[in-house]
Amino acid sequence: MKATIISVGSITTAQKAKRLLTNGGFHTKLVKLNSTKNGCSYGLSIKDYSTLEVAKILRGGNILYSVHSIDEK
Amino acid sequence: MIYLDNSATSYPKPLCVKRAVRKSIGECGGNAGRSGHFLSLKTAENIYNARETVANHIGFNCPERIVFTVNATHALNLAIKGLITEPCHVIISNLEHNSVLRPIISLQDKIGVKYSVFDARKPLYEEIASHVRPDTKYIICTAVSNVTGADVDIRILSEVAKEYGIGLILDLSQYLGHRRLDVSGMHFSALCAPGHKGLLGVMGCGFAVFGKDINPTPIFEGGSGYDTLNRRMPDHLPERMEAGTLPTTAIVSLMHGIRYIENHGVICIEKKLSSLCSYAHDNLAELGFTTVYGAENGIVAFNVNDISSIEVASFLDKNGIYVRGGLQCAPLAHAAYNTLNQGMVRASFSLYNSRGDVDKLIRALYREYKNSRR
Repeated sequence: MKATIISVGSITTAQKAKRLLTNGGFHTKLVKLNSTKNGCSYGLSIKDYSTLEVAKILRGGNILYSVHSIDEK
Repeated sequence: MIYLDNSATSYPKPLCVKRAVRKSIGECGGNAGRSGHFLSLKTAENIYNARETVANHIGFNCPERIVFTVNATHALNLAIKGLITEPCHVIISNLEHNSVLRPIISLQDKIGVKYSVFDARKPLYEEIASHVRPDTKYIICTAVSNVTGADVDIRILSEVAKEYGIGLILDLSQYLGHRRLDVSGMHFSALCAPGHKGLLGVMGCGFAVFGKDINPTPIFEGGSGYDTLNRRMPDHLPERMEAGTLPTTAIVSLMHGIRYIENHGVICIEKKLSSLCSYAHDNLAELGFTTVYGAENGIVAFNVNDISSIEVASFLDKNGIYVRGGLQCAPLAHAAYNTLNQGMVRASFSLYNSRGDVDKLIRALYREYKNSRR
């Protein structure tokens, strides 16, 4: 199953994003990430990722995010 | 035992709060926002639920702007010192607790902040407006006096602050849990409260709510669980102001305390406390040897003739009745009531008290007074 992992920053933002996306019908899992640019951060693994839908939902919650990676498992 | 010291901390706690504390030690044993394993994430979920519960309770739609602290004093220090970072003028009331007064004095000593004190017993709008100067940046005020229970109308405070374009920091220590608050549409910079008083959580948790577009300067720096390579605290709330590990168990207890209050009905609690205050006021006044200074918001403040309030509290303690004497950490209020020498006896109620408790207080006072006259 392919899942897209987005990075949102703090655990609080990740919790907020998770609630918004769950309410929007996405199946998500909270994950801890590491990047060379910012160090630790939290993000979400999202199944059936839709670029436009996710962007719309997260923008509605004033959440900035970046696509971290795509998990092919 | 009759516990009438709920303004210091509420006791007893509801059964659901006690159960939640026990459960959280097991279920929330991970450190929220630090690791990525199940226990850490489960704890983080509970902390976020608590943020949402606090936000919903006050009609605020930004749970991420709820900053958890260890108590109201911590919250007030974060708000006052995090928002006032350069010399300016602030206005405080004559009912403030030392948790407002001392941070202001500290800022006066360190960066030259000036302050004026308004009389909260005068018509509020005009009284505050008379103290506004061109360099006034904040009004910092309690919503309810922790000494007498006197109200300071927060809607008027908010109106004056908005009208003059200045910030408003409110101390809600004796307000939340006893009175309904809906901040939607209200002008404020920060609201500060403890979790262990009217909101019925255990000691060890409080919070500051920062208004939209308010970006306080961190007072503590340290781990935030993300943005690790940044040598400074992150830009975003709440982590910007929450350096280090949170008091998870106390936060979870606060969440369950609020849920309990909401199930019970804040208006029901308000009515009950109001009824107990009126009953205590009338019975104390009838004794003929007391002075009653106030009876509102679950607090009744009185003295017995010219006897030291500490002595009265000590005598009541021996009779299994727990009240607080002395100055209640609020010297400005005692100066205003001219009771700096005697202090006041403060009996403070919760939803668990009854008229029977007041009757026992009155009987004990009467008995002691008559014995002392023999």
